[in-house]
Amino acid sequence: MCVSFSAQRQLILVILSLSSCNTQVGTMSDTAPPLPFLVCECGYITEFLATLRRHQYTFHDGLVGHHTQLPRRRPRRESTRSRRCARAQGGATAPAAGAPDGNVVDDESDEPSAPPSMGSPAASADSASTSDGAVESQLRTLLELTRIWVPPADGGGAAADAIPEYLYSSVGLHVRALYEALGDAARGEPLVHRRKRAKVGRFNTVRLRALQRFVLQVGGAGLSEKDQQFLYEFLDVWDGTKAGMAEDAGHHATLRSTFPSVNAFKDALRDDLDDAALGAGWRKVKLVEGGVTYEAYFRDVLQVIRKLIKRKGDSIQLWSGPLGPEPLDDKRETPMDGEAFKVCEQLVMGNTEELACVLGLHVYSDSSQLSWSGGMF
Amino acid sequence: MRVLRCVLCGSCFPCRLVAHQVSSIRSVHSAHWTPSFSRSLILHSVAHKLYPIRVRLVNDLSSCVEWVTVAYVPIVRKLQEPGADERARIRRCGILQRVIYAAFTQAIGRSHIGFRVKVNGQKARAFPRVLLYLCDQPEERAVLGLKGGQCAHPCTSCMAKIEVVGAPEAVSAERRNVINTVNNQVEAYEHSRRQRRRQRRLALGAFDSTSGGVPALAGMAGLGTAPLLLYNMIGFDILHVREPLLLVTCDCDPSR
Repeated sequence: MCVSFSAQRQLILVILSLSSCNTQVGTMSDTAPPLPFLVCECGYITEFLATLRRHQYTFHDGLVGHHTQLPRRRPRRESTRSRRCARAQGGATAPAAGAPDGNVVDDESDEPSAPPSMGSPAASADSASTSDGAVESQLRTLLELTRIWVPPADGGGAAADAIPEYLYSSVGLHVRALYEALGDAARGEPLVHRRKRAKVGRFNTVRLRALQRFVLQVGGAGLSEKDQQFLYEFLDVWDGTKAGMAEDAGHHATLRSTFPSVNAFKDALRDDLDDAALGAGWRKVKLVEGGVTYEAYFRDVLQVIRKLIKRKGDSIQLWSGPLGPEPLDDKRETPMDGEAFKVCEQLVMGNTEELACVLGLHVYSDSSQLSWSGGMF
Repeated sequence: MRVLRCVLCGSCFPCRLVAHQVSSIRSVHSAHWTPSFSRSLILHSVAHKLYPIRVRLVNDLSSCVEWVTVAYVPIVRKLQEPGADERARIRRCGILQRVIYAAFTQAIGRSHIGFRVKVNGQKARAFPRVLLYLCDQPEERAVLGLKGGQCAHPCTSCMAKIEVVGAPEAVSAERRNVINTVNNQVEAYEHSRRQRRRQRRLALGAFDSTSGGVPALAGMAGLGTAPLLLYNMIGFDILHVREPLLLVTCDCDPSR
């Protein structure tokens, strides 16, 4: 590992080391440092931080003072347990050592594994990291060797005192330390939880796998649960296994017997759809208003009325009374009892020699969208 | 949260609109649903590009009230242009009236001459009439070609001035004259179409608080002719009155 410092950082470190013993740092000063050396607790003096660290690891079995607040190396046994636990819970982690496919992944691999918090809930927030193994080890070593604790300065609230401040050897390491402290990846949990007594792999034939692909991929996002139910009922009819369903000549016919190709299938669908739209009398028109073209859809109200009369002939009443027009009164049981209907009825019957009636229409404009425009009419 | 409304039954959904429509189409709306059209309209309704106009035949006394969609009006949005608000309002009113007329063309014609019907063995000449137009307050003004707000005569059915709307004096206000108002609207529209006599156009608009459009339904018998119910056909659907206290209410008597 190569640790390089700029001249400015060197100066800061020296000043900090001189302001307090045991390599503690202090506030920056414009005055020249009287002793430009790093000093260990035992009195050892050196000019470079790397030399001081080497001395501390050699003679003091590690760091002393505030540097011991660095994350501790997680025991290897714990790491193995956490990976095993992660495999048991999610089953979606990356291949690990002893995987069923025979692939072996050692700790030096870059493959991510389960977060350490899954198997070690007591792990501290500092020790939580995005990965174990090589990446975590390298990051921890970097932090141990280069991070310098900054004693709290005057000012700032309680939060400033609660969060220790460090100097880092590079901005990249600082960034990693910041996000490692958040521990987002460590707090992650499996996306889904298995159903109790889940049975995996029941789509185990070619046809069933095709059906599964269809259900999961149709429309881009697959079918909703309600649509899955609808599909199941459809397939029950298609297989001819639905209880009580009618049988005809094509009961055992396959799709290809009627539609030999995809185009034939699509054309048949389109033809039926177009026929239904034309049968309902829908038309579209482009309206140019103020230089802007809009497309509107409509159908003839008169045709709608005719079809309603034809379809609901039994419940259609031509006059306000069952036998003919009734005079104005206070009865308000149906819309035909209203004054508007009866006034129109009187006028119509008075103007024509032929027996006449009024077909009253109520129009409903679902204009809530217009209101969204702010009602700026 | 944006609430989506089913174009077929009017039900509101915060989400899952398409799922509702697909399921309800098969059950509730099977009578008046056309597969190809509904498929495109479902997509349109999600994007809020269209809104429907539905009709109901009041002579149908069956227990099931059936509203049939007869038109889909495109939503007109404001563009990036000078006077965008005013231009959008003019476009909105124009599109609405043109779509209404397109759907009611034959019905308007037959409202004058009638057509033969035979129901339960009874033969008669039937004359369609629009008796009620359910909408909200902004569209009421748009359907009738009246100004939406900040005008001298904010009441639809009477000519009460804005100073007395809501006061006892509004009870005795003059009723809005259908023939005169529609005549003025037609004249103003003709001037506007030919881009002439701007002062006259503005004067006509200010006189009746009209917006410059011509109500398409005024051509229907019973509304533009006796008994002249054009300004009495509007009914607010209770679902559309979201803030009743903010509505400008008039104390006039529309039945006079």
